[in-house]
Amino acid sequence: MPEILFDGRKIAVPAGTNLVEAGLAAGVPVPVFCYHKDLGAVGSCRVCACTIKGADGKPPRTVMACMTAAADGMEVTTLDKASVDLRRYVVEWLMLNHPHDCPICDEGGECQLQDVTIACGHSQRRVPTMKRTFQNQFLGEFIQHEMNRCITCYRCERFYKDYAGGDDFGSTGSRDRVYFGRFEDGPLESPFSGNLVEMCPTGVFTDKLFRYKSRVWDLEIGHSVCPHCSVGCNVHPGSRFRELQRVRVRDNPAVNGVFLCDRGQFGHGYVMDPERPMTVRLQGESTSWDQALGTAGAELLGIARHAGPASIAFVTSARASVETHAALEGLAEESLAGSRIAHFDDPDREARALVALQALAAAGCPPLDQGDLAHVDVLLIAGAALVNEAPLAALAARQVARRGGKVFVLAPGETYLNDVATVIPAHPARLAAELGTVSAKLGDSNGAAADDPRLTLARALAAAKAPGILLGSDLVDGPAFQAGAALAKALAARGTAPRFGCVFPGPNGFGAAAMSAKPALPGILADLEAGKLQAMVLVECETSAWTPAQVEALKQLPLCVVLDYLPGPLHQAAGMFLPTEATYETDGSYVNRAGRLQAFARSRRIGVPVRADFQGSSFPRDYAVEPPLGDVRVAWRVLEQLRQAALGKAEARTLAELRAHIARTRPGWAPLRDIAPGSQGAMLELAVLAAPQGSLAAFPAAGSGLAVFRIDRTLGSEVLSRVAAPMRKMAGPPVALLSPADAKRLGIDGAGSIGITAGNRTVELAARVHPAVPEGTLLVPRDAELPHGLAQGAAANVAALAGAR
Amino acid sequence: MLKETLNGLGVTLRQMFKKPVTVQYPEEKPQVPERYRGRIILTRDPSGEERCVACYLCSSACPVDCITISASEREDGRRLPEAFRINFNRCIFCGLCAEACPTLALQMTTDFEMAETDGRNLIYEKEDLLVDHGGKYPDYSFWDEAGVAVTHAMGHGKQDVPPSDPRSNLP
Repeated sequence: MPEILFDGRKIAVPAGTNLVEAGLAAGVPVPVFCYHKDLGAVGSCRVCACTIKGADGKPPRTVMACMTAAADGMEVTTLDKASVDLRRYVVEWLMLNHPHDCPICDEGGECQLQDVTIACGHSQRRVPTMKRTFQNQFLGEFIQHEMNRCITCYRCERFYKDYAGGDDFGSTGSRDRVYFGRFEDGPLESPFSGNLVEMCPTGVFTDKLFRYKSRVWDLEIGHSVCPHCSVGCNVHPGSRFRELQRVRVRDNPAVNGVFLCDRGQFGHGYVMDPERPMTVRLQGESTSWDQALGTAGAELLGIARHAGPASIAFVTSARASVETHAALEGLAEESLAGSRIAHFDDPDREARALVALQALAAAGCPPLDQGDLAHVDVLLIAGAALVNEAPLAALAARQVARRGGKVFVLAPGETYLNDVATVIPAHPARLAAELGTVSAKLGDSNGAAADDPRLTLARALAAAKAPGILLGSDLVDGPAFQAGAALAKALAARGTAPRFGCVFPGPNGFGAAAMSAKPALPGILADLEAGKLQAMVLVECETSAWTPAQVEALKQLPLCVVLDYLPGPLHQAAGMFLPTEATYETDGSYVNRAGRLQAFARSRRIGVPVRADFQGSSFPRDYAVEPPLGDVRVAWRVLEQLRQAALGKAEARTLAELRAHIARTRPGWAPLRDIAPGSQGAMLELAVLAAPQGSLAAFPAAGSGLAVFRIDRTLGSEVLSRVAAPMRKMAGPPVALLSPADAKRLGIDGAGSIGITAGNRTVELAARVHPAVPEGTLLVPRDAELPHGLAQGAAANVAALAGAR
Repeated sequence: MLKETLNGLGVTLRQMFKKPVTVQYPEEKPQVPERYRGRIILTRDPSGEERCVACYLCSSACPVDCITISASEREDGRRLPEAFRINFNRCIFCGLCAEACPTLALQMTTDFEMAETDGRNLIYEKEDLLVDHGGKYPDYSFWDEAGVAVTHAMGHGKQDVPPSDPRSNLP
């Protein structure tokens, strides 16, 4: 550990630490533009100048802090005249061409260039030359381009191309004409393009959804968790005047670091959707909370008395918080004991999540969380094109390869990692067998060159110090989950320290699975269809996975209470609708895909935004203490109040009481008691967690017709983010993927239109050939319509449709 | 004792023959300096467009938080306040807003006659604040200097050279 003197402060830093990091350790923030802790140092901006002496016997000299490693006995000064002058000149020439547009720049207030310029004392442009300009590009619905502001730090290109693996963006030109953009106008293709906003130290790339809305210092910013997938990235939602205006990343080194995918950063439109239901409705008429809750409570109790509690069912989903799941369980007590609860709204995903949790427990090794990917040297991703199901995990997987580790993908349809990973496009129905083969070959180390990538994979895993296995969700069947866990176990038995992880459906899929004892939804849905149910309470869930008969039966129920914040068919069908708060507006917690409990806190006062109340060009001139439509409540509190009304409880439990109740009554949930928003979260104790019952059948073996698999896509298939128009526009219409061989058989050249027939129904869908899709499979985005009743992996008749291209 | 009394009376006597300083307001209007900090206005640039770009600097400089703004984008890309309110009940006429204004839109005037009997009338909206002139700086236009293509094509502002060709590697 070299000891250095940094601006008079003596510190010891690990060998190889550069002087920027050393400065931070000493409490001296050295100004930087091009340096970034995750992108490394390139020394192109010249602003981190400092003066060193003493280390090597050479005379004192000014160096770039980011390019200089701390050496024992080094004395570093940042405030000596030479360094200060150099920095001042650097800022002055950066300002030569910088436009005079800070007042209209959305970066203003959080602009590194602004901060450093002011810190270096530059205020007057002394050179009377004209400024060079650039034409800006249209970069899609998310990112605004303003190239004149560029200071050529290359951070954008280093992130987009090197870190995130994008290939449609880069730099061109020479001298002061270096230009960062696409070859031609068009949406940025990388699903991580939103990070350019954070990466850019000034305002070249700004958030289009936040364009000309607010200054950062006026925003109410909270600590929250992204609700768009099971990774559980930490975010800072920012709102002003009761309007959620933007979502930015919150640095949580245990999860997402400083990165976010476009789904998380730009998928928040559903919160401010003008269609969003905000009023309590009873049989189509708006009513008061007390009236609705009283009615619902009395009817629930009446139905329980007359028809028995078994005719009551509660359904929620993986996007409801831990507290909501627990509050729902609190309803099925006492007089309502015996009513049933499903923690998922999709029978297939329910089985998948329960089996994934069983596999995690069976693997017997620590879970592979997002932060753990930084220590993995050989990563096997099985049963998922990861960028679709858990985008940030795919970004972290790419870093495994960039660090020199090996990445293997055992799944069809890989699009994001194929340049850094060995891709084995395994048929999902054969995934278990493939994983079994790898397990069997772990000990196979005879020197013959491995032609078979499976052998390469087995050898790499066997030789790895910290192997990681990450299973997807949609393309993994029961046997494959078991095979994955068995592989992790086999690796552990060989003396390595493997980590095993799964992707769960929804932001709280793990939590919902851990709350479930056994699969409950299929039974509930069967009873619903058979007319055995009298009442249902649906909390923040979809019916898209239900059959039309089930949805129709729901409408015929004597009591159907829906709690949600999304508009949709359920909102229309419900006899009683109770509006709830979205994640960013409320307190609660999620469990991410590796079992990390993370709390989120409210950051937006709910109600009609002030902007919607403008009278011409004036703010509303009427004053009220309560904002219009501001009485929207968090789901768990509504459920607690319903419990009060139905079970005659004295009072509704608070958040802390609910959490304490879960921590007390459920083994493994003790960390819930002390989690706080804005922390790194805490891991559920997987070893003592009660593993749920349940099983997941194998996918049908390949037969006639194409096996149809519903998959996620990075943008456009997730239920919350796809509400807003910019996201749908960027995602484009859903396109099915099929193998070149199948395409040839169907007579599809590159792309075309197909008809999928199952039962007596045919749906039409655009299709595209994908080289990494195995023959006999058809991957269909979840947001595309499919014939009802078509199980995951079931064969359907697929035919090319003439004409439409 | 007597001396002090006479001294005092002397002062009074002298003052009686001096010109009185009392201004007969409101019959007689006082002459206030040009840089007096009175009622705040939002001025227009030489082309008659609103100067304010809703940058929020005045509202953040304001020590009493009496300025409230909501920014918006016009179809031509111009950034404008869709609403701009100054609550003169709170305003202390310190002038920090005018000092902060980067586009010279917000200016102080010499008008101090703003008394109202109803406090609600002291809440000025954008149309109350907007004037049809450039105030103390009639010639300045932010958009011509800013290097942003709104009032002119890219690269044709006062400080700009026409857009460079990023595909060229020539020196």
